[in-house]
Parts: sequence; structure tokens; C-alpha cells
Amino acid sequence: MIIKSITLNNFRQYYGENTIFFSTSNKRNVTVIHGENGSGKTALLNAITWCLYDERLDLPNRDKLINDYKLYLMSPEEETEVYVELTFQSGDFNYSMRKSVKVKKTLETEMFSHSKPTIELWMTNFAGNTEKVENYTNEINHLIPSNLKSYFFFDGERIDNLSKEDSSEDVKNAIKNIMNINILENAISHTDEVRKRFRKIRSEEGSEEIQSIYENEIKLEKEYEMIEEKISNFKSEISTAEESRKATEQQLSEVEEMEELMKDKEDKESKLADKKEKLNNLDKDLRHILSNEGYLALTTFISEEIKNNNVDYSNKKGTSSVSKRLIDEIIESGVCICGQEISEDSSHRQHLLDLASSLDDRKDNVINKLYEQLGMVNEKKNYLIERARQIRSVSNEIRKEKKVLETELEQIQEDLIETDIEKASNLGKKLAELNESIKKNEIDKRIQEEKLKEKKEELDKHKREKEQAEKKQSKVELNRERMEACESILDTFRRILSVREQEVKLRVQERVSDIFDRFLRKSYKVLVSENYTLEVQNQFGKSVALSQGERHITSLAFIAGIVDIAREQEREESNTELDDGGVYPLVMDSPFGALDSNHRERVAGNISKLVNQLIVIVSTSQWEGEVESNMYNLTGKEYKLIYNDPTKNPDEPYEYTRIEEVTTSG
Amino acid sequence: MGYKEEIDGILAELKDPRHRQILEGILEEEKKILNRKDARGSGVLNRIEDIVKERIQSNDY
Repeated sequence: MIIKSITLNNFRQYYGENTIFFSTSNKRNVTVIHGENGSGKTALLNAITWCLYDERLDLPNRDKLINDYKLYLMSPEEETEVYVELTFQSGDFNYSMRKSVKVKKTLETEMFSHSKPTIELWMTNFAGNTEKVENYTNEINHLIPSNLKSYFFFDGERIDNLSKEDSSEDVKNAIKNIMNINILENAISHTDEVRKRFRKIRSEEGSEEIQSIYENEIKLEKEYEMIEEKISNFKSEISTAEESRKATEQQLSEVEEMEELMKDKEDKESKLADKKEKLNNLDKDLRHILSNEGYLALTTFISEEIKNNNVDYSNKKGTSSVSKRLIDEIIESGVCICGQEISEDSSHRQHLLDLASSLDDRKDNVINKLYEQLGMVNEKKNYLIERARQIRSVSNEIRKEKKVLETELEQIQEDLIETDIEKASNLGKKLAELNESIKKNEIDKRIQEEKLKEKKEELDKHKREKEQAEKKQSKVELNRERMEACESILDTFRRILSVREQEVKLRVQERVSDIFDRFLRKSYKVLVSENYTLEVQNQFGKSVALSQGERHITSLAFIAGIVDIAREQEREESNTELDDGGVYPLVMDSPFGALDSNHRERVAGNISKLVNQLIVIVSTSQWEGEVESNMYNLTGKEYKLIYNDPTKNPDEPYEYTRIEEVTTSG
Repeated sequence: MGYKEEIDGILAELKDPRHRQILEGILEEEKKILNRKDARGSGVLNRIEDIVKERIQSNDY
């Protein structure tokens, strides 16, 4: 979307009809509007959002739309029209939007009444056909969603709010909207609705038995969702408390007397985290060993059994069997144990030879081998037991060290509370409360997570029962199939969403960091945290408390980053069906207010390169100097707000503003 | 593994080709709504339902 012009007719400070034609050039994409304080700069920004988003003005005396001087000149009972008209372009479509109110002067001087606003939006396509757009709210929301308007039409005096802790929702929404994550979110929500439709049809057509199963399924799913919601609430509370804890710790570190104690605390916390990680890893190792080789514990019983059986076997062999070696020796000696001579050809000898050949050492060999293997198994088992013992012993040591650290940290916590420095003590108490709240919520969260696991098992079991019952019902098969398709697609959407969110967050972070580098002279870097807050870190990776100017720059870098990514996306998708949703104007009211001279220069020199169209509304003093010198060659249009000061012009006893184009630039 | 490959991997797990077609159809619908190429978002559920019905008319594929 590129804004081509705005016309204001007797709107607020602006007397008569005033039109600004914004620069639509690619090279000189900046339009500058400058004026003195009170000349209507913020009213101009408000005029744009008032017209586009059908909302009340964000200005003092917000319901008074008509210009004072115009009202003064009107006769009693006379009616006039106050309006704002915008023309803009998006892709091949040209738009004209007009919002107006009828204002009537009453009999009493300076009293007025006005009608409800009338809004009209007209769209002209590439073929030149014009049609009225009935649902103008939707149309505008497709061009720049209303929840993003504060980024594209922004008030410099409030912009640093974005970099405050409680702005994570704004940051999150901005990222999601601009990066089309909401397509996936909408797809998930809509597909789930359609899935429920199929389920309803299926329920209505099924037998009583199956209907009861379906009803139970709905009940179980609701219970599951409720637990999920509880977990999500706990997570959100934990996250908020963690953010506050971080801020409180930061404040404590800034109290000079507490600096050392806080450093000690940080050091111990880091060591504690390390111990916890080690314990986790050892626990994992132990579980791995037990799940892979735990069966070896059973071999004690097997080994005992084999030994016992073999004793029986050996005993039997000793009493009722004859060994092959003994028979060989008898034959060799030529005399049997009964005293009878064993001649070469005797049947006695043949009998002994037959007996010897029927006996071999195979059984002995097998038993020997078995013993050998049992020995190896025993060795392995002993190694396993030893390894488990070692892990337990190391774990116990670490647990002891962990306990010491926890006690020391508790002591630090007490020291913080009991300190004589009142500010630190209050912060210490707050910290203790936050820790307690986090701990409690963590426990509650874990309880709910366990419940969720149980509910999932219940649901899975129910699903299996349901599948059995459904197989009996061929007439609901088709809907079941359709519902399952929705479920499978939903699962895929959710997984893609999760991957995409990570990708987008990283991409935004890289871009914002890059722009932040160009804007800020310090070598800080900006991160988009897990909770979607903008966190600024110094070169040592520590969070830093920002000055107002630095917060301002962080927010500007974030906005410029978002717009730049959107523009890049538009280029990437230009070959697809997508229209130019990624082309945005950036309208800034007083963007340089909180910045020092060097930062003004940096921002002014860089920001116009990051957006398609830049409209800057500045005070004359902000414009002159480094901003003008850095933006002059990029400026396609320049306007000046001419303010009529009633104290200097007694013939016109009301203040008003006219807009004049400055023709020297461009 | 890059994000694109990861998403391709997830999509490849959709064994029933009809599911893949439905997924693409739904995304197309959502894009149309967001980019105003079609009627302004009304009836999106009906259109998604039709996409599913159109693709799944029998239990075999």
C-alpha cells in the first residue's frame, strides 16, 4: 500500500481544504512535513488513522472535529462538511476513501452538533472499472491490519513502549501478522471447526452405542483442552514472574552495596544450573543403561539354575554312566574289570568297543561352553552393577554440592531481605515472593502435565474402543474418514506452525539486530526472547537497562525490521498469486524527539532505505540540522505547516493551519 | 537441516496423497482470504468442508 494523497477539509487545526500529495517515487521515497509545535502535526497523523480505521481521535478534545476558525465564520444554523479524504494504491488497485461528518452551528455562538461519520471506499481496478467497497473495514484490514497500524502510523512520543517488558503481545502480534503466520493459525482454527462439523454429522448418524462413545469423546477432549489451558496459564504466569524477576534482579544489581552479593548470587545460580544439568545427564545415562542392559540382572537366577542342573547331570554321569576314557583304558589293558581276558576277536572286546563309540565328549563340550558364556554374562553383569554404583555415587556427590548451593542461595535471599538498605530489602522481598510464585506455579504446572499425560492415555484408549465400534458402522465410515483427514492435516499444520514460528523469530531477530547496529553507536545487540520481548544485551551477553533514547531506537529498529522483512517477502512472492500485501508506508510523527544528534543522523540516514514510502512529520527544529542534511537527497516532497497565531493577527482571532508545499526540494 | 527441509519432512509424513491435496487447498483458501482475492472471508468453513468432501468420497485411495 502506498498513500498518494490526503485532503483535509476544516479538520481540527486545518482551515479550508488542504491537500498533500505524498512522494510515490522509488528513489526519493520520503515526504517531509514540518511545522512548529501546535501546528497540527499529530492531528495530521490522527487524520490518516481516523479515516482508515473508523476510530475516535487520540487527541485532546477528541470529539471536536471542526476547525475553530471555520466555526467562527459560520452563521447560526449553517451546516458544513468536515472530511478527510485519502487516495492510495495497492498492487493494480487504486482506492479513494472519504470519511466525513456534517457539522451544524447552533444558535449559540461556537456551539455545534455533528452527524454520525459517513465512510465511503471506492476501488478502481487495472482496467479502470470503479466499484464501491461495501465492507471497507475488511478491505483496509487486508492492506494494513488494524492491530498493526501503530507500527506503520506511529507517534514518536509513544514509540519506546514497544521495547518495554509488557509489550510482548504487541511484538508477537506484529511478527505473526507481518510474516503471514496467521494464515497457518487461521487454517488450524478453521480446519478444527470443520473437523467438529464432520464429528457432529457422524454422531447424528451413528447408533446409540456409538453416539454414547462420541459424547464421551467430546467430554474427554474438553477435559483435555481444559488441562491444556491450565498449563498454558501456568506457563504464562511463570513467564511473567520470570520477566519481573529479571527486572528486579537488574534493579538490585544497580544498588551499589548489593552489587557484589548479586554477582555472587548469579555465580551460584550458574553453578546450580550446571549441577542440575549434570544430574539430568547422569540420570539419563542410568536409565539408558538399565533399559538396554537391565535384563542382565535376571541372569543370576538363570545361572544358578544351570549350575544346579549340571551338578545333577555330573552326578548321574558318575554313578550310572561310564566314561569313554575308562573303557578305552580297559580295552588297552586287555583285562576287563570283571577279570575276564579281552582277546582281539572276542565278542567281549567288540561289545566294549561299541559301548565306547556310543559315548563322546559332546555333552562335556556343550557344558563347558555354557559355563564359559555364563562367566562372560556374569562379568558383564558385574560391570553393569559397578557402572550403576559409580553413577549413583557421582550423583550423590553432585546432589550434596547442589544442596550446599541451594542453602547458600537461600542465605543470599535472606541477606537481601535483611539488608539495612531499604530499597534493596524491598526488592529482595519482591524477589523472594516472585521465586515462591514461580516455584508454586512450576509445581502446579507439573501436576497438570501429569494429568494431561493420564488424560492422553485415556483418550488413546477411548480412541481404540471407538475405532472398534466404528468399524461396525459402515454408514459413518465416510465421515470418520473425513474427520481423520482433518485430524491428520491439523497435526501437520501444528507441526509446521511450530517450525515456522522458530524460523520467523530468528529471521526477525537477525534483521532487527542488523538495523539496530546501523542505528545505535554502542555495540549492543537486540534479541527477540522466547516470550517475544525485545531484549538488548551488551557485548558480554548481559541484559542492559536502556535509556529512553535507546528504547526509542530499539523500537524503531524493530519496526524497520518488520517492514523490511515484509518488503523482502513481497519480492520473494512476486511470482505467486499473492498481491503486494508486503508494500507498506511508514508514517512517523516526531520520530527523532528522544534522540541525540548522532543518533538522529544515523536513523535519518538509514530508515528511508528500509521502507517503500516514508512520511515524516517533524517539528521545524527536529528537521533542521542533521535530519535535513541526511534526508534532503531522499526527499521527493516537502510541505510546511503554516500556523496562524491569533495573537499576531487580530483580524483572524482563531488559530488555524494551512499546508504549503515547499518547492525547493525534490 | 534447514527450516524448509524440516517442513518438507513433515509434509512427506502425510502418507495419504488426498490429505496433502486437502492441506494445500485449505492454505490456498486462507491465502485468498488474507489477500482479498475472493469474497471477504465469509463462508470459509463451508469452502474447507467442500474441499475435504471433494477429496474424500470413498474410503480407499
